[in-house]
Amino acid sequence: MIAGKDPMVGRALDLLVPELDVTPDELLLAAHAGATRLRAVRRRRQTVAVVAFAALLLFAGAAVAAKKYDLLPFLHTSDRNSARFSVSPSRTYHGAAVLALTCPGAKQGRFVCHVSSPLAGGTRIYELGMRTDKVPLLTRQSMLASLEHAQGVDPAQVAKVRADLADVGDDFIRALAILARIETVSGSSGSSGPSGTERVPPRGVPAWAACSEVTLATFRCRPLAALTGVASGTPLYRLQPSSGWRRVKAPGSQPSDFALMLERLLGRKPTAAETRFFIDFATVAANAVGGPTGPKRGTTLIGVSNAHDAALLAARSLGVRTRNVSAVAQPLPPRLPGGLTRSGTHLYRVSFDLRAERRRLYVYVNRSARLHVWRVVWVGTKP
Amino acid sequence: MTELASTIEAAYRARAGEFLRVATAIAGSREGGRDAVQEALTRAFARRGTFRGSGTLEAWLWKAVVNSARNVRARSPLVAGDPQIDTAAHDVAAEQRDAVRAAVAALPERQRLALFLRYYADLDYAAIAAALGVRRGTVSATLNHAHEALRAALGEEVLA
Repeated sequence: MIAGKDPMVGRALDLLVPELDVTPDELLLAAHAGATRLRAVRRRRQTVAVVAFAALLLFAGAAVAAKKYDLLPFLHTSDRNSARFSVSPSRTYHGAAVLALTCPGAKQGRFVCHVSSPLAGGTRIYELGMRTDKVPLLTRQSMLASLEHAQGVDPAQVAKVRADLADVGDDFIRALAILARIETVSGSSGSSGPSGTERVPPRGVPAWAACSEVTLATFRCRPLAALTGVASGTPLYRLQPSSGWRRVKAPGSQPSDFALMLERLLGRKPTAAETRFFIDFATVAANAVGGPTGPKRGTTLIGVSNAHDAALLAARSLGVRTRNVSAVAQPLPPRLPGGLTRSGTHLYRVSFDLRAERRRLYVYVNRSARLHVWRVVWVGTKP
Repeated sequence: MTELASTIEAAYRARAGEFLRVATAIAGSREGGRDAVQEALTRAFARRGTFRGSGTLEAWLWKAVVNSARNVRARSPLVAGDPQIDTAAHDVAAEQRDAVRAAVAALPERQRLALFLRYYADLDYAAIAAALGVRRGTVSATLNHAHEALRAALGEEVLA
């Protein structure tokens, strides 16, 4: 026997995956293109984060604070499978994010978890869902700077937004800064059952937890729901369904109504200039997100159970009122944008009315097998 | 292209077939394997600044490919028995192949990964250890266990 090799095992494995013909150039080209886009997206995330934030926060189903800077009353949600929380713009988590944790003592308050395998059986298994994004620090100056660097957007439109910004009060910008810190993660349990119902964790056990590394083998976690000041980059874990889960009536959908949210946050009705600014700003954001030089990877989970609904949400979550939203599945193009991979990826052409104009976006969605939800992973004005 | 990017490209070109074969085995399908290698290369090129030089570049690349393939597999668990893998010699060895697939699938993940890296990529123990983030001695023990388990599960008639 060759050291460490058993010829018979080798023959058996040859049956499983024979030697493959490969053309290195093909994958190298795609990888170089993907890397270029990845780096460009990172740069843009720094320079035009403000422009993109409108879509981002509303993709996240942002809530608002009625009393300025007091987020807690507004981070609670009736959906047991969701968690709404705020991200600190000044704190960053640099620790590890393992794939799975076993948390026998998961409850309200702090609890300790042990590093586990995603394939481990048992209850109180939490699997990594995502890391929190860095939130933009919003000021009038940073917004102006971001507009300066916005790419893939009609310059006249940018100039209009810049002019609108001059008419907007500082309290309005502070309100946007608060909104930008709030994120929501959600995911149905993905199991079949009577329509209008969903499975939820046992009472007192959080569906989502924010965790940080203590030692190589242990993590300290806290329930994510209503948590404030979460460091950017913090790994978020979702409880895996087990025998203790109960079936309850599913909460109704809660569409974002931006005008209402702003009004509650500001404690007054927004002025005409402020409303105009946000509508234009959201439009610029959508175009910057989707423009050929300004694509934006979806960074937040949208907990919907099918690809078509996830695609529809992309338009309904722009932050402005869209009507007559429809989505039509499209064949995948030969080359996918942004280094997306083909497996599990679907493309939809989404059409909607926005301010009396018919608009069109191309939305790529991908299923998270781990979380049983479909996610928007790319939005563009071209396939 | 920077020097490091050129080195990554050269390392990939030298072993492209092995990278794809290991990724295919882990991901469970040819398409998944291609996706995994593409993802790994994309990240390697985009994040080459994170290569600390504490190990070899090839080990770093193997680790990236293994992790990407595991992610692809996690995203698409249903492709485990994807027939695209085994279009060759379909009629001759179908039963044997099914038996091998079941036996390999029953192995703990670390044993599976060590086998794939040892047989499909011909990596030595040190390289496997670096790719899997374990000690060299662990690789030796893991492969021994895997061999024993496969022999027990398949019997001499399948392995012969």
